[in-house]
Amino acid sequence: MDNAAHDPAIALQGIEYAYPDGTRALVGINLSIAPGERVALLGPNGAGKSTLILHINGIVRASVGTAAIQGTQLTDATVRDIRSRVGLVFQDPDDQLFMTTVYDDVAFGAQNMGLDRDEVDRRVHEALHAVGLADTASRPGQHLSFGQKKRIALATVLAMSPEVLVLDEPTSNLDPRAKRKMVSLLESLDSTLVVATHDMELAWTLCERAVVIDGGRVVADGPAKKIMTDEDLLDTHGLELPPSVRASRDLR
Amino acid sequence: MTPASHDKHGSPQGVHRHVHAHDAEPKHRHPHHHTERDAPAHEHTHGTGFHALTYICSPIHELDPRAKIASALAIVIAVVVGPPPRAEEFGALVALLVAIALLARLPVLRVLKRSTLVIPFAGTIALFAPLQGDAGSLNVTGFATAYAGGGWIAAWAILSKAWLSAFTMLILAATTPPPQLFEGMARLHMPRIIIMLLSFIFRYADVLRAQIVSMRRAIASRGYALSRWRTLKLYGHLAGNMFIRSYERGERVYASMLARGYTGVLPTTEHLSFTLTDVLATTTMLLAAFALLLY
Repeated sequence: MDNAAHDPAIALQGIEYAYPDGTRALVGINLSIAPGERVALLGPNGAGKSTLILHINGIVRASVGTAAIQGTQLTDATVRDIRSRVGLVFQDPDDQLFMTTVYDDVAFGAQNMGLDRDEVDRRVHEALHAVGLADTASRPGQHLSFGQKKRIALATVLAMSPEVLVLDEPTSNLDPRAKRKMVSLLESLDSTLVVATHDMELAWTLCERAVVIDGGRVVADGPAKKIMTDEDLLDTHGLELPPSVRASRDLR
Repeated sequence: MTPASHDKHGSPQGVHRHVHAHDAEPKHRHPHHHTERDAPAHEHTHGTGFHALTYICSPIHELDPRAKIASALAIVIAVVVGPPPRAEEFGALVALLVAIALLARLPVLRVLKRSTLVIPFAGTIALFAPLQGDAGSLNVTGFATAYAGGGWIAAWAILSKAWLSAFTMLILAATTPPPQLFEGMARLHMPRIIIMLLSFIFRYADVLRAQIVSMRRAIASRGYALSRWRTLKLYGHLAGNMFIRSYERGERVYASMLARGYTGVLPTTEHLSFTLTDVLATTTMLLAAFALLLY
């Protein structure tokens, strides 16, 4: 889907990263994601998914390699612009709801973009409506249920109208009802989506492309239908078939 | 059938009126847009009981936070700077504060109980005051001598002033939701960094509390047979663990702030308006403070 006029939404080339203690977290990562694609980032714990995600908006800088968002190279000068275009949603909502009310949290990103008060207000309400929690605006974030916090965390990023959304374990620790709400919410979004997850069913439902990372390397990259049905591949890398795929196989 | 002491929604009456999804007009300070259709009316909580007090509707709660902060500060300064309060002064001030608490529809006894938390701290300091007395003698037998008189008065001064200040501040805290409190402080030109620290403490105190509770449960589950000394040592480890966890959480929160474009200045969005009521309230309290100081 890459053609010359269309820069990839995310282009990571030769990314290498080592932790301060010397452990190599990422080794030669090459990843190109086209605008509008929905990619599942799969891999066992410790594979480097979360570390890789932090490279996409420049919170962590690779020691070797480059990152580019929609054609713009990630440098000290462009990092702020890139952060307004790439929305990163972390795994623990408590780390992202740090203001005193939900409204303040959702407005935070939009305000940092320098928008005026009315525009910020409009975006906050749009974002809260999008996640279905418009009535929580004046409440402190900590008094919401876990599922609600996860959705508000998403709203805090949606208010910045990012073209690229990167999510780290969006359905972890959610009860079935909250999980259903989150999945339908993610399905309704039309930005480029990168979802790092263990939830094979979520990846299967949501994404058309799957990238498997293990030991800091990309070990598989292709259509979800091909990768997430390859039982041996998944097994080797600490994963398993999505439940619906396994169910349809058991029926045969 | 809900008991007579509870309103028709089952909430205890007097302390907390709450609007529900099916109410016609809101009696509550939350601007509600619309509620989730499939969520039960009470899906959220109001945190610890004390924080819930800030959601009560009362004339005091309606006041601009700047008026309340300025008034509270005036009273505290008058109390602290003035001479040891005489019985009439003390009584008058307590009456004033209790009246304000009643006007604010606060559960006065509960607030009073909470205000006594300051007594152990002030008391420890006050304990040594009689020993110092007018002559500044640290002699243990000084308790009974003529020199001790001044010391007893000093002890009374320390305790009464500490308690009065705590009570005043508690009323301020109970009648002002934290976002408004912080915005009020910012508008009154308190240093931004202090306000930022306070708002993070407010935000994450509950989270830390929950972590401590779960660790204590783990200790109780597996360490119930330990001696007192070993348990104490374990709590030392718990404290160290909490420090590390909080430090790492701080890093993660910072990362998520960066991810949303943080440049070093925390934006605020509270709308405040200083009305005539606020002016009158502040003036009254300032006059009261002056009276206290000069009388």
